[in-house]
Amino acid sequence: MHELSLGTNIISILKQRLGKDINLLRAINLAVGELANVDIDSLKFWFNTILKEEKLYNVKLTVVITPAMAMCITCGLQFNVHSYMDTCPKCHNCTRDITSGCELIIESIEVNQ
Amino acid sequence: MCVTCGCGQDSQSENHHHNEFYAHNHEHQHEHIHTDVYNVSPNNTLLKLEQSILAKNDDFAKLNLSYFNSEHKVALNLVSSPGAGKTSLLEQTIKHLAAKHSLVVIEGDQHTSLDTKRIEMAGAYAYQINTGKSCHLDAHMVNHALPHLPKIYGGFVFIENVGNLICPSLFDLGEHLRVVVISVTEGEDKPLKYPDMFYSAHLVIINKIDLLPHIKFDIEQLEDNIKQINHKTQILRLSAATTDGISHWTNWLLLMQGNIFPPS
Repeated sequence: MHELSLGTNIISILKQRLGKDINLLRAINLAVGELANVDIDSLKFWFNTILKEEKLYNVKLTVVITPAMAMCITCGLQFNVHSYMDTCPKCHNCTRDITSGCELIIESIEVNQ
Repeated sequence: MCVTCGCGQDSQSENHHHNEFYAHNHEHQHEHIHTDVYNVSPNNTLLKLEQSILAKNDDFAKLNLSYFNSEHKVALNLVSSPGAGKTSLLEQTIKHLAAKHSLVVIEGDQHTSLDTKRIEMAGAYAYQINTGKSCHLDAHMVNHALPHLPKIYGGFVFIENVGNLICPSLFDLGEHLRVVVISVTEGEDKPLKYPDMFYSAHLVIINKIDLLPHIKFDIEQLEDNIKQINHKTQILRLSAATTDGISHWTNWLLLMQGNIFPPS
C-alpha cells in the first residue's frame, strides 16, 4: 500500500512547486522504471483518490514505463532486463548490477494558461 | 504534537519539516517503453520537473545519515516478513554486545510498544514509532526519532522496520546497511517472490536454523535463490533462539563498524 504514500508525495511536491496555482494543474507525467517497486494501477487508483480529497479536478495522470538496464560484472555486457531474475545473455551469470530502471520521476506537469 | 519543534502538526504532516530541501534533478537519456502517451493540450503549458517522487524521503535520509556519521553510529535497517525473528535477533545482539558497545533500537510497528518493551528488558534503549495505517517506516519518521536517542558517541543504531517484505524496500532511511532476516519456516522461493527487498540487502540472515531437523526445507536452494537475485549480498545462518551462529553476526557487525568508521 505504499502507492498511497507515493501519491501523497506527488501532491506534496506539486503543492510546493505551484503554491496557490495548484488549481491550474491539468496533467502529471510520470516516468516509472520497469523494475520500480510500484503497482501502476494501484498508484493511479490512490492518486485519483487523493485528487478528489484535495478537490483537484480535471487532472490527468500519465505513466510512461522506462526500460531497466544491467551490467554484467563477469563479462562487462550491458543489457536490458525485465526482472531481477534475468541473467547475462552472453555469459549467463547472475553477477549483474542493475544500473537503471528503478526510478520514480515526475517528468513534467501541465498547467492551464 | 511534533516533539522536534513543538508545533501542532504530527510527524507525518506533508508540510512539516525542519530543514531546507531541494528538487532532485534527474538527468537521463533513454528510450521510453510507453504504456501511456504524453499529449500536451493546446490550452496548457508544459513544465519540466524531472524530480524524484521520493526526493523528500531521500533528503531526510541524507540528514539521518549525516547524523549517524557525525555520531559514529553504524545504522542498520532490519527488514523481514512478520515473525522472521528480528526482535529476537536484536535481543541476542544486545546480550552479546551491550557490555562494550552502545546499542540503540528504533522500533517500527503499526501498533503497540510490545517490541520496545522487549528491547528494554534485554538492556538497550528503544524508541517506538507507531506507523498506524502506514506499512513502512520512512526517513522522515526516523528523523523525528533522532533527538530522542541517548547522546552516546559510537556504537550501533538498529532500525527494526515494520514486518513487510514489499513496501520498506522503496524507502531509504539513511542507514549504512540493510539486513534482511528470513526464517527457515518461510519458503525457499521467498527471494524470487520479493526480489526488490533481497536485491537491496547487504546481508541476509537465515534464522531459526534450529528447526531444520524438524521441517522439510532446502537451505542451499534458498541461498542459491538469494544469490540469483543479489550476487553481492552476504549470507549468515543462525538461530536467535539457541544463539547458534550469533557470533558470526556480531563479528560481522564489528567488521562493518571497522570498515565504516576506521580507527584513526
